Amino acid sequence: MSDFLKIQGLGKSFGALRAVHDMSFSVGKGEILGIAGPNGSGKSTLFNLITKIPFPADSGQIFLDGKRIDRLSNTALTKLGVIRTFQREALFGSLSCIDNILVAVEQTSGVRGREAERLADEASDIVGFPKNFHNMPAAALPVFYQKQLMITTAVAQNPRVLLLDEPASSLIDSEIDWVRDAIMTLNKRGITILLIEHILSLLTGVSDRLLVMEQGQKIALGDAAEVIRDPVVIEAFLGKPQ
Amino acid sequence: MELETLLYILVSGLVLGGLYALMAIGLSVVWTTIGVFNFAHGTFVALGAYIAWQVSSSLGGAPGFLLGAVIAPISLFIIGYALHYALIKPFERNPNIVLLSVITTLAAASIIESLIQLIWGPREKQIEAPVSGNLEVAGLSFSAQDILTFVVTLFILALLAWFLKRSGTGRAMRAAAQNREAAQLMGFNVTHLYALTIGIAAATAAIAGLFIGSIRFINPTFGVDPLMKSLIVVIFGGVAHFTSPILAAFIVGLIEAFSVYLFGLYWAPSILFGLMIIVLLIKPEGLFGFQRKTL
Ligand SMILES: Nc1ncnc2c1ncn2[C@@H]1O[C@H](COP(=O)(O)OP(=O)(O)OP(=O)(O)O)[C@@H](O)[C@H]1O
Ligand SMILES: [Mg+2]
Repeated sequence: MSDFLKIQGLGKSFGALRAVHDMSFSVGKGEILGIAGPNGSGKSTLFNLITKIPFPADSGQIFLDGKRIDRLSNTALTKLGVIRTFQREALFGSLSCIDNILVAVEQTSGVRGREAERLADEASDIVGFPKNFHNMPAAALPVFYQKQLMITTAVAQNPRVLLLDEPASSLIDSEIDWVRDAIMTLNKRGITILLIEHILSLLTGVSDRLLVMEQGQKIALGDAAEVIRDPVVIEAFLGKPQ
Repeated sequence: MELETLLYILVSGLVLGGLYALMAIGLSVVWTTIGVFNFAHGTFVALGAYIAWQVSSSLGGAPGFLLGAVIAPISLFIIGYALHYALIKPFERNPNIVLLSVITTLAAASIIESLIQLIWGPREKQIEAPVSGNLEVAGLSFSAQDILTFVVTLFILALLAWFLKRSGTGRAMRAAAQNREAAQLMGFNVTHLYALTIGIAAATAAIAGLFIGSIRFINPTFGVDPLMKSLIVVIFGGVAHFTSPILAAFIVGLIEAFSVYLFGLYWAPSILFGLMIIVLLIKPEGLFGFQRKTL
């Protein structure tokens, strides 16, 4: 596969803590890359660094389609189609669902008015987010639909590379199945996907390859079935065998 | 009381209420969005009135008033926008921001007041009203300037409501007001949105100043009363909804008009405060609720 998104030597420290250290990998066009790792291993931070939202990396380079993008502003990155979702529910509870989608599209990609509304409608259709929820306040929705709203919001920003941060956390099995289908649908539309997830069955089910992180570093990358049998990976998740 | 008298008091109460609403809405929008009480809001009203006076008196007549109505809010918008960076932004991460901003906005108020005194002097001024005479409606006659004031006030309030509810920038302001962390996380320019909020509040204050200045005399300390009235209205009505302080403003205006008629100008403030204390004893969150911070 060609290197559609290429990460080289990416790093970020918080004081003495190396949250992400010397991270390098490539993602092919149309690929789904799963990202696993224990809590605090730097997965979400990696997404922050790629999108510059909310902060950029200390070091390293990022290329999209052969062009260097790490010096661009976060709005320029959004316009290029590098879009993320957030692990915590980043929603505006008192705003209606449609306002939540519109405000993200307007503020991050600079599209306004009718065009923004068209993108919001189209994204709701693609994701399957019920349009009769559009005028309800986001806070009134059950968690499952709030997750759908977050994915819809991301899709409305026209992603070429979509970074999903634990889209299925705190969902029940049937809802996780929905997330799986949604990821496959988006991927079939040509969207390259990076997926952080703790639910291993979902992760191995959809991912072409799996990247495993520990303490800010890459400890394994490859075919999902092989990676989860790797002793180094098992140790990272379960601790050293006695 | 005759029906005719009752109608006149009602109309003067409504005109007054509209002006109070226009003054209070800026205070309330800043409070709900940024979470600070802007004690310079009254001097925004005063500065707006002086700038409008300067413009209108040099041109004269209705065209002068009209030009003042354009230049005063634009100037105050710019001043308000810039002041955000000086008064509030430096303290935005401080847990004591509410108290600190009381001090910085009070300081700004006293500086603006001194500047007004320095530039325009202590003598009282009045903005020339663009319309004069009376309008006859169903055998009753109303001051044309009062009617104009009322109509424009309602228009500005409706425009602001539309802007916040329907425009992209208004949507972003509501979003930043509701969940600042999420807005920042998603890469919104929250500082710009907050500065815009103060700018818009200052512009509405300027329009209030323009109209008050055309029915009353203005002097450098003229901002004190509008600030007082806005605070009363916001605390009295609460800020649960965009319209809460507006409704409260009309109630305050009507109470004032009736108590002036029934008990005289002298007693009106005491009666207003008395009623307010009773309301707050029964409903401490304000007439229409204070807690839910939304626009
Ligand atoms: N803004 C920040 N300031 C200081 N430390 C941070 C910041 N963001 C993350 N960290 C630290 O960096 C490390 C990596 O955090 P990160 O959120 O990327 O982990 P994660 O792999 O996403 O974990 P989880 O699975 O729990 O979501 C953690 O130790 C965290 O405490
Ligand atoms: Mg995380």
